[in-house]
Amino acid sequence: MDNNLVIADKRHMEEMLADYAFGRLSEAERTIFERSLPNFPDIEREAEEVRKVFDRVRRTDFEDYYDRHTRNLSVNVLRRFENRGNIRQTLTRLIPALGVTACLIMFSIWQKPIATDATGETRTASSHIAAGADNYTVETSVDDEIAEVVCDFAPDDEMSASVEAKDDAEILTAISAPLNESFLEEQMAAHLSDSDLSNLLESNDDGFSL
Amino acid sequence: MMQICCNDIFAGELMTQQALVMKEDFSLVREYINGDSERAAGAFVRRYKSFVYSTALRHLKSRDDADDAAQEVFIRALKNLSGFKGDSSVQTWLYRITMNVCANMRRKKRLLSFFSFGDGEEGREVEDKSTVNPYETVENSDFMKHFNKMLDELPEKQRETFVLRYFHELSYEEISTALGTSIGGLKANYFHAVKKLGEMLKNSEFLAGEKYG
Repeated sequence: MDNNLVIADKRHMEEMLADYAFGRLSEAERTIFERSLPNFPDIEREAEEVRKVFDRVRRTDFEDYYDRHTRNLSVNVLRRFENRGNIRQTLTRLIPALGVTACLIMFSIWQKPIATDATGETRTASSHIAAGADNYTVETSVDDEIAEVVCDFAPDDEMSASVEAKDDAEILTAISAPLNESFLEEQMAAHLSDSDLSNLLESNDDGFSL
Repeated sequence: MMQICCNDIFAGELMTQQALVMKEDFSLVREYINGDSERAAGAFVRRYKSFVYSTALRHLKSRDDADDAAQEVFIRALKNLSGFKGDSSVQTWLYRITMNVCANMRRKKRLLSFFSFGDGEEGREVEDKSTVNPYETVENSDFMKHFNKMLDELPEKQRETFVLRYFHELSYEEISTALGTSIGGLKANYFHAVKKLGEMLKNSEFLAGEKYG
């Protein structure tokens, strides 16, 4: 570096003043600044004043204050960072599992459609006939392809049956076999409405009659 | 005698100092990626905790909020540390994260106080009164309270420039990246901040008995 270099601009001297006063200039900067000072006596005075005034600030240990208040920061950060990683790992596993479960639920609902016919009778994939003591329901599948027949009589009668049938005719055939036919006739006549009976009998290909 | 008015002649020397700091930072990042990541993460947090905490405290003016913000800053930083390319210094990068986190926290607080207290003004006022001096080194220190008040009187750019340069010893290049101000503007801000603080300190009760100039 040229040994004759001096700073001519007062503004540049001012910009370097604080760093000079606080000893933050490099060796080369300081040399040039000091060489230029005789041309700016007010800057020299000001630099000395700044150094004295800020001595009180310099003697104050700011770092100690922050150290005391951040003593547990690294431990807390590492703990939170680890926890966040664990949560993410759990979510990474849980979300696909929840997705699969939701798909299975949707599939099972789709496989078991529920509809209501014109008479308001509930029809499901399974058909049930329960000729019990007080009430019973007649439910047939929407497409009548698969039907489950359940006859659940009152406990006193000690009779029950559960069979699978494809249509109403098979239902009647099925329930007539294991159970006492006359009892069934009686139960059905007593509980089934005329329209239910006629509907059932219409599809009775086996010629079963009540 | 040759006269100059250019500051760039010192660039080489400053670059050497910055390079040393950056070298240490990069070795930490390398260790975090390839070596003992937990040890490196701990060392990283310890190295910059004061810087991040004091910056957050300066902007949030609440010790608890500053602590929360500092934790969040380091979690974000550690999450992205392996992708840190060194386009800027670590401190500049952390400063920006801190500013974002503080802005988010202030926004959330405003929103919460809005729903809690109607217009939210009362809540904020109470909180401001109970906050802690961000530059306080010793609690209940009169000088620290006084110095904090003086810093608060400075315009934000001057205050930030002064703190980053005087307390955290960042280079003007780093401060320029962090604050988005030209180096020339920063040097002027720093000079004005020092001058104003000097005047205020000179007239304060702490230095009133002494003679200057």
